[in-house]
Amino acid sequence: MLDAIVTATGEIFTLSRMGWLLGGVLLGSVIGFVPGIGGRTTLAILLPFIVKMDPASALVLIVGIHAIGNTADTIPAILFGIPGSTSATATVMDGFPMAKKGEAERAMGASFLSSGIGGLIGAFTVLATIPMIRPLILTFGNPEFFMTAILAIVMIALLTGGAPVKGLIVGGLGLLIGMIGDAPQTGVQRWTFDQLYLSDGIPLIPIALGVFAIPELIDMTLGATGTRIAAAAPITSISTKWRGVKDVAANWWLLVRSSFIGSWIGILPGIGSSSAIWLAYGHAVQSGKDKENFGKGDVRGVIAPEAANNASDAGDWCLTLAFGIPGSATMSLIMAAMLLLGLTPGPKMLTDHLNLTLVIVWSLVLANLMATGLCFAFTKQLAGITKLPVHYLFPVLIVLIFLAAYQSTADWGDLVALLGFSVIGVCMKRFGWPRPPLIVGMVLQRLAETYFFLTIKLYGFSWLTRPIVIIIFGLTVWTIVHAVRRHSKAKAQA
Amino acid sequence: MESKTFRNSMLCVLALLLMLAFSLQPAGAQSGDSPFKGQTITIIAGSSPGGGTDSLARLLSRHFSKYIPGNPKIVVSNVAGAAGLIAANNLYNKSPKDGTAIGTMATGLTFRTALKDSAIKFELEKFTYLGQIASEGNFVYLRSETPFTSVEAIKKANKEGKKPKFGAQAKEHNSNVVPMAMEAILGIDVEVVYGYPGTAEILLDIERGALDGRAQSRGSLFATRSNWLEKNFIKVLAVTSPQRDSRLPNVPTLEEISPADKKPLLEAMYSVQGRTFAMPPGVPADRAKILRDAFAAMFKDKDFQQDVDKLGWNDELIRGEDLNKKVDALIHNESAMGFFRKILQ
Repeated sequence: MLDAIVTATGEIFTLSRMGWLLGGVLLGSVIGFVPGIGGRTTLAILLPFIVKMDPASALVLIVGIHAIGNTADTIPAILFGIPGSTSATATVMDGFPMAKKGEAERAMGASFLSSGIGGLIGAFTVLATIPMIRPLILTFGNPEFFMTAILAIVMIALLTGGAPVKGLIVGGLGLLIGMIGDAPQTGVQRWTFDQLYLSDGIPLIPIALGVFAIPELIDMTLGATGTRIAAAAPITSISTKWRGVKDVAANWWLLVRSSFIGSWIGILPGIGSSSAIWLAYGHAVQSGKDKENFGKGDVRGVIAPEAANNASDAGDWCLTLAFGIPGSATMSLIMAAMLLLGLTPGPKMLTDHLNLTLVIVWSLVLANLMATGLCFAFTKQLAGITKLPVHYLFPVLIVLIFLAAYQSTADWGDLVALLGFSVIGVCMKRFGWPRPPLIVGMVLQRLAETYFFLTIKLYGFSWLTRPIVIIIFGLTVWTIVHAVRRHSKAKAQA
Repeated sequence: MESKTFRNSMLCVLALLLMLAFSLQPAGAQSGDSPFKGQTITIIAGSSPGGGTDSLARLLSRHFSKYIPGNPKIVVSNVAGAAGLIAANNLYNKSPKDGTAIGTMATGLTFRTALKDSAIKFELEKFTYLGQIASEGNFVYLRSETPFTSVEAIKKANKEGKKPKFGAQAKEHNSNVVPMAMEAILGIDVEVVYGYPGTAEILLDIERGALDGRAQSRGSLFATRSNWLEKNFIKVLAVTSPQRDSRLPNVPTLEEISPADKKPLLEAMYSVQGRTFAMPPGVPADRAKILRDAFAAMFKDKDFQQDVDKLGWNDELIRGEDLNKKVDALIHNESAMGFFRKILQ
């Protein structure tokens, strides 16, 4: 093992490999700003060139392109309330209100640092637990996945927005919208009205943009001429990225706990970072002593999901490399690239190709540092955008939003979905209904349904007696009781 | 500062619009000797980036151009949705019929045709087929520790009320079709649990012991779980291809263990396996010939063969002309289509 570490270290710290890594990070950051392209499509486009390279350099480049995405997708989430990807949806909750308060730089500082440290904690956690991962994955089956999905939905419905009943109703609506399309078990078309576009369900990005981005954009635009995103703050307000760094230091334990949640969810195949971020966000709300600022610009609401997001990525890599189980579509593509490079993901990556695995771990660590450094360096300039008059930003943002929505499936339906959900989003915002449970309900509906049916088919009702199911059920009940108590206390005080 | 940022943002948008404009640019006019000179051929992958269908499209984009006279530019466009049906509908009805649009064809399209699915907006036999590679077939395997390690053992277990549990993705996916076809052909009872999100989840449930086995394409099994074979974790019952697999010479073909009167049904099933490319109907014969010849020439390319091997697919070629005849025969073979309907309903 020590030999392999020395060899891998020697392999990565060469001029050309570091060049490839930096190149990947830069390429990923440039393309990451173009909505709808993202890391996955970039990798798909580059695949023919990557497979001609030597395996170590190719892997280093892939890690570089991939790593920046998870750190940089938070930028539009904080600045404009536009989630760059589904894994940035939780950051919108508190990141964007912070930007409106003139604290964009602070939010980004905290976010980038949490991402970077979360990624590192994730990488080391995964490395340390490799011998235990296989038994863990095998113990955690369909019933446990189903219960985790339920816990995530309940957590978000009850803990965001301070109105548990409204949260549950919106979460339920999200579940219903998620049901549109082919039923995974029977293939029956549900609520598709003979529209082929709806057969795979409505894609998430137009909905997220409609529900989150458009209402904010409309509010900003309807303000007086010259309104800025950071309208609530005087233009001279001092809130530097270093304040964000201090926030991270002050909430160190939250960061560590969120990273563990992320790593854990990351190594469970089939759940993915979209649950990890919301579980971490829910955990931040639940464990925080003073909760009233969540949703209004609390920095803890940025730290927790960002750390969990990058940490879950490390788990995803581990699953793909060591077990040949890609946990996401991007990882499927990386697995295809590895096959073309002559590497078969699986246990042999820990024996015959251990040095390459360690090269990847090293690259992940370095790419996280580079991505964090790069984003950190431009925080001030990026935050400056929130101080521009909105009438300058509006045309750019509206084009970006429509492009991003249309890139989902390149069908007119994407634009119809965007407009339809914009109306819903505006109404929800106007009448004080929490918006995140809608997205989380939608994302988790398919997982919950699929795993519920597989559970019933494979285990009958005996799954209810599985110990981990009972523990997660207990956590779910505790979340509900906790939320109800909190709500009644708040009512009594009011 | 403000005007600079604004100018930069506008430049960004302009660049984006230009990119979009270029990506939507129609194929240029014919020039030179070859009708494809200076043109752009779009390969429509009926899936999102990542996974087998997309890899296949990108494999073609990498190797195809150099064998087409005029060396046209080749780009891949992903049209995901409805397991390749949206892509096929678009290819048939909307794409140019001059050989500049090529699509991947999902095997499930044949089964949907058999089921007379109303969402289908094409006639399968009227596509201009380019060719098929990797007529790969499936291995049907079960965990070695189950009482289902041979067809006879399954029949015996059936008498005791036990059925092997197979995992599958979707109804029209081979992972469901193959075990259901085996049930109908061999007279055994099996249970297929379908609705899995992907291959990885099925493999994990086999490892957990929640499932007994599955049907998996040959290349995919070797690429993802060759260690199961090495450790005898699984017992392969049969391979669904006309010949035995040279890597597992002791595994019989499904044909070998099937009653003689069922063999035509097996042939029908084999004919829809494989990775197929097609063009819209009505592509001029001279253009179709150029592309089919280029496809066959590419197939002999060493780099291409190497890439196919690395992806774990075996390499067999069926030319487009032959495919058109095969698909036509299959669609009009009522007993085969009735068989598909029976096992899928």
